[in-house]
Amino acid sequence: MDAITIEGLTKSYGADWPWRSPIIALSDLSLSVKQGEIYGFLGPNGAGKTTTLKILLGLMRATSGSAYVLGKPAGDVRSREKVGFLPESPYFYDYLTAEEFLGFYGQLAQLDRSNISRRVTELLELVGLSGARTRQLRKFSKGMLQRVGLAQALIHDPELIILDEPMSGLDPIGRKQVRDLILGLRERGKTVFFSSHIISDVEVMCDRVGIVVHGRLLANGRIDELVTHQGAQSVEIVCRDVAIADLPLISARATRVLQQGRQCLIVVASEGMIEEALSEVRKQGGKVVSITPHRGSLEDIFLRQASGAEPNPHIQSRVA
Amino acid sequence: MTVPSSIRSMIQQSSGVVLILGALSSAFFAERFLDLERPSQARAEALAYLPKGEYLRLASLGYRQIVADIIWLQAVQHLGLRRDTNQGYRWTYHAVDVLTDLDPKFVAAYQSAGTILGVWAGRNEESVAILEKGMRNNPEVWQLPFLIGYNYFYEQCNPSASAHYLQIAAVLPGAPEYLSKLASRMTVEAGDPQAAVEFLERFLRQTRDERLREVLTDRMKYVLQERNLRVLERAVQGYSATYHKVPSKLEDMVTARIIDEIPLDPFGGEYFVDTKGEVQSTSRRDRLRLHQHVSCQWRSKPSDVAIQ
Amino acid sequence: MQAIAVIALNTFRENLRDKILYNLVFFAVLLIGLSVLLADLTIMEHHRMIKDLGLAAINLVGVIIAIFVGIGLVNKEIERRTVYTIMARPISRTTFILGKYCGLGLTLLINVLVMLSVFLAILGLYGVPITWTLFQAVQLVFVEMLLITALALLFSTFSSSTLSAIFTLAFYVIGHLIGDLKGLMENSQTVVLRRAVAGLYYLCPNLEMLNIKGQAAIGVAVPVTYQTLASAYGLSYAVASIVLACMVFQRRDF
Repeated sequence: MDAITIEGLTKSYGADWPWRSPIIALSDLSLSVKQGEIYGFLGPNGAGKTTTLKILLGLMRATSGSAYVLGKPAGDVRSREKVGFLPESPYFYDYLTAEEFLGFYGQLAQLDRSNISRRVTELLELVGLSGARTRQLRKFSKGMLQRVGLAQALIHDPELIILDEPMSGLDPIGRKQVRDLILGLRERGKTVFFSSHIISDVEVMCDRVGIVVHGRLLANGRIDELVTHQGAQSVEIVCRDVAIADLPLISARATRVLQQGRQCLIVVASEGMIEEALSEVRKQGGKVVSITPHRGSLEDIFLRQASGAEPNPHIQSRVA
Repeated sequence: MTVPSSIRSMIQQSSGVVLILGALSSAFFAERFLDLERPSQARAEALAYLPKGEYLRLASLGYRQIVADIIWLQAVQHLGLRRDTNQGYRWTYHAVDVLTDLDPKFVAAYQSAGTILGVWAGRNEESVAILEKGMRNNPEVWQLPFLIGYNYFYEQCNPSASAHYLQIAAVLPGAPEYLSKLASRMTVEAGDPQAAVEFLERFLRQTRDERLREVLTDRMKYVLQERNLRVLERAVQGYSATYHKVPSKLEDMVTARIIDEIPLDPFGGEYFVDTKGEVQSTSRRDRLRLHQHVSCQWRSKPSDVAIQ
Repeated sequence: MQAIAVIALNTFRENLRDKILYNLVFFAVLLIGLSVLLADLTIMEHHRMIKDLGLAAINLVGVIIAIFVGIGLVNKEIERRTVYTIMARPISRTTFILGKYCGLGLTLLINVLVMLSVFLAILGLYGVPITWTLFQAVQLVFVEMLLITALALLFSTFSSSTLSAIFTLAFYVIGHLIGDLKGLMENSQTVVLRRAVAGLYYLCPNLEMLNIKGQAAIGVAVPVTYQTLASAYGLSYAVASIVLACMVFQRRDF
């Protein structure tokens, strides 16, 4: 049994009134998440990530298609029994203290009293908030809220953890903590499904990713395959002992050239042009200092996808 | 030269305080002037423009008693001032009518307004009307028909109407026993000052309002004086019948054994008999003899009494 | 059941921490202050006005809390997105609605009980005879609050706080007018108008049925049958509103 199965999921808003043309948030989205893996759900803002998560959690109803969570149809009360959820930029009851807050969710998960106090202590330790146990959430920083929110999602030791942008708004230390936490969950056999628009966060820990743009799933697979396939967006070549003026051929075709003392920087648009540039530099007696291919971030890819009318047919074929 | 920041913030703060005080005091003086612009008479008159009870009832959204209380509190302030003219009470009937539309069970308002409109303002129709409205809404309260009875008897010279209401009052729970007796005496001996004195005594006994007691006591003295004058006049007639002359002084009648003694004047004056045989009191020069009924002697000049 | 209690208690805790019960201080100061100010009146009027004032203040304060806390009950949770993590738990939406309602109900109950005690204490202080009818009136006032809360809750499931406040206030006003309005309209020549008002009469709760403050203040009791029927009447409307609120909330996307 897969932890999450989504088939042909479609969501459109505003169709309740005949004079309004509906906005399509999700269109025929299908994917599955295996138990025990970390699945990253990538897409630019407004792509439909949060909508998908909300449908999985029963916060929203799909217009058509089906979604199953741990084998039960999404929206069913019991489907959420073993699921923990952290929403994007979490808003919580800020009048509660961290302890009361976690206790409240423990009670909602029907844990018994002694179990709750044990779990609260454990989790506050885990997210590094033991010192803020009796502080009201309104006095928490954004990073602390994110962490206490994560503790809330884990209070009942769920099988499946669904996180919406868990790393947004965190400082580098916070990011690392959350990353380690997620990896630790996988070690304990939990399934993690999270959304993000930042590729570096996803890259290091996900087993698989899905890329969603404009409500369509454009890719679904291992991340390195997906990104590599896109090729480099640009290549930076730094060389020494040569002047730009001596490199007319490549200067004419480079995206950008820059002379800084003895060094010069040449930026070319594709990997295919590297050899061409290097041969001209060598011919003039220059030395190559470094060659840095810049892979586009996923956002670049999304932006391109978003501006292009049709999704890249190559990527589309990989979905199947 | 730079001002240290602590001093600057102090200046800012204190100028803020000065501004606040300035604004508050100008508001205070404006209010004083506005108060002067609207004398209390005008404010009382404003009560005459209250919307009709049926509309106010809608607007008060289930808080009718409170609205009625507020109107009454305003009315009481002005009623307490004891305006001496009939015109000063123009607004009263309307205000009390409105507030009793809001709260038909406001017995105290009917009672006070009924008494004041009748005794002080001489607006007898309004007094009876408001008390009758009170009776319709509170048929169990004996004081309301009692007050109407009083009004008919003293203010309107109508002992039979008075008796009618006293009889209604007499059978209500809590009504004093003397009421039924009083009622029958009203009908039989309408012009008897003795009955009037008793009525006043009873009324006085159950009145706690000091201002009202004052008026009633005063009134009782008039009645007593009138009773005494009548007794003395009857004696003078008896004396004349026997001796064929008017007594030169009242003591002559005591000597002649026609009366036992000369009664005391409640106003502290002396009684004397004039050459025509009419008895007068030094405390009161213009004895009113326009009416047969003693109870009506002030009817022609209602203000005369109210001002005392 | 347990989840309803958990949500209700948390809602109550929210009300406490939002310092809603501070209104009680206002209530006490108002009542005591006015009682002292009115002490110049004759005894009869003074007693009457303290009672009028106390009952009206209990009613007004309760209704204000019912409306202004009630309208945020669900709507605020959605606007502040606190509802996400709660509805992501194995909690049905009905449970959530019932929990929120019971929580505010508890706040109102405690509020009314404290106000009633302050009121009775003041009556005792001025030697005003305490009649059974005062309790009758307060009981029906509480039913009115429960009804208003249910209406506010209903509106808060599908509209913004401002709109909910307007709707609830409108129902409150119409609820108090509709009885008189129907009376006025019965003589109307226009059949359509008469029917419309009659329709409105049966659609809107007639809140005047729950208002016995006037006679309670002068000690005239209502029969127990009336009390029971009026309570049942108010609570039926409340139940209908809550069920409707659950149905609306069930269909909502967050």
